Amino acid sequence: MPIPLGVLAVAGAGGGAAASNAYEQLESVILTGTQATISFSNLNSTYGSTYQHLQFRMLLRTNRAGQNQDTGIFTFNSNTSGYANHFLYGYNGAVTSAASVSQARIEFAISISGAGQTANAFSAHIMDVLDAFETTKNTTVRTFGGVMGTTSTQGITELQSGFWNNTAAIDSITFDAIGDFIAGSRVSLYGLRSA
Amino acid sequence: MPTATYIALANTTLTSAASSVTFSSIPATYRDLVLVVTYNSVNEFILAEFNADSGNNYPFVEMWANGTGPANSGTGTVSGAYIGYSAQNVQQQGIIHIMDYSATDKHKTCLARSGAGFSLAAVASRWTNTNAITSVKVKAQLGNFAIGNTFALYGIVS
Repeated sequence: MPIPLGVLAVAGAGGGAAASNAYEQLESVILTGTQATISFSNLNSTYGSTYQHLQFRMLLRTNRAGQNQDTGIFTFNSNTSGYANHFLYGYNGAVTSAASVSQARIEFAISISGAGQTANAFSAHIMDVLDAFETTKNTTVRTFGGVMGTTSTQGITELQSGFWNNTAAIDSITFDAIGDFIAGSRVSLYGLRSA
Repeated sequence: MPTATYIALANTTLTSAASSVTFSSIPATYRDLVLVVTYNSVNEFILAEFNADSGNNYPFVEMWANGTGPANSGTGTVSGAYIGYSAQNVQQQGIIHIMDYSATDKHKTCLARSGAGFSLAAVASRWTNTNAITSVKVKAQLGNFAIGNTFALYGIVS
């Protein structure tokens, strides 16, 4: 027997799961045209005294020609050294684990939709940057992402972890790819307050 | 200006077995939906059907492991966005993120993670439709959800 619920209650500010406003949207970029990179800046100066962690929620697609998937790239504070990555992903019937150190950026391995992906299929990515503004620890990120197109070579699900060997507070982040991001791509930034 | 963002929309705990639970009249107010489900059922898929579309319009790619061998990956198409796979008589939990659910310029990509003490899975799926989602039916593919299973829907503000 199915049970219809409707949407029984909408808890606004101060209610339900958001009673303490602990999780808040800070900024959002939604592309209306093609753009090479998507950036957020002045993060520490604007949010560092209020929020403990950051979360980026993304739907992405690039114009990388002839490719079902594109490689996502991002850097902190315009810095291009001291990064490491680890990927665990399911793609084309196999599970693959890969790692890289001493990199110039953090990557999402081939999990962003490219021009060859099924039409209207954007890849989704949820990335957590914990203790983003602490200066007593290096920066660690983790990401869950993926997309499923029509064929087995158009589908990937990925767990990624990244590391920046730098204790600086995060003040900016720039997302890039081999191709350019197309209209409809969006990156939304959320902040999580400490207790 | 920061605003409260992670909003509890509706939830229920089953007091009798049920084949599905439906969240309807979902407004287009939010950016993403998050559905949290604890479930146990027979050996079957636990799925989220959108806007009463029960066709095989939800391709998925999964990565899963159960400790008996290497991790596995595969693809398929089912009649709802993949939340998890229920093993009989074992309570499990799944969280599915339904991204840009009200957008009309893209198909609906979903990310789900699920598991219990003996297995886990990470899945990406897609509803092959550009319509805004206004209802979500959480269903057990073959049998019923059990008493005590819980279903909670959250909206993440745009």
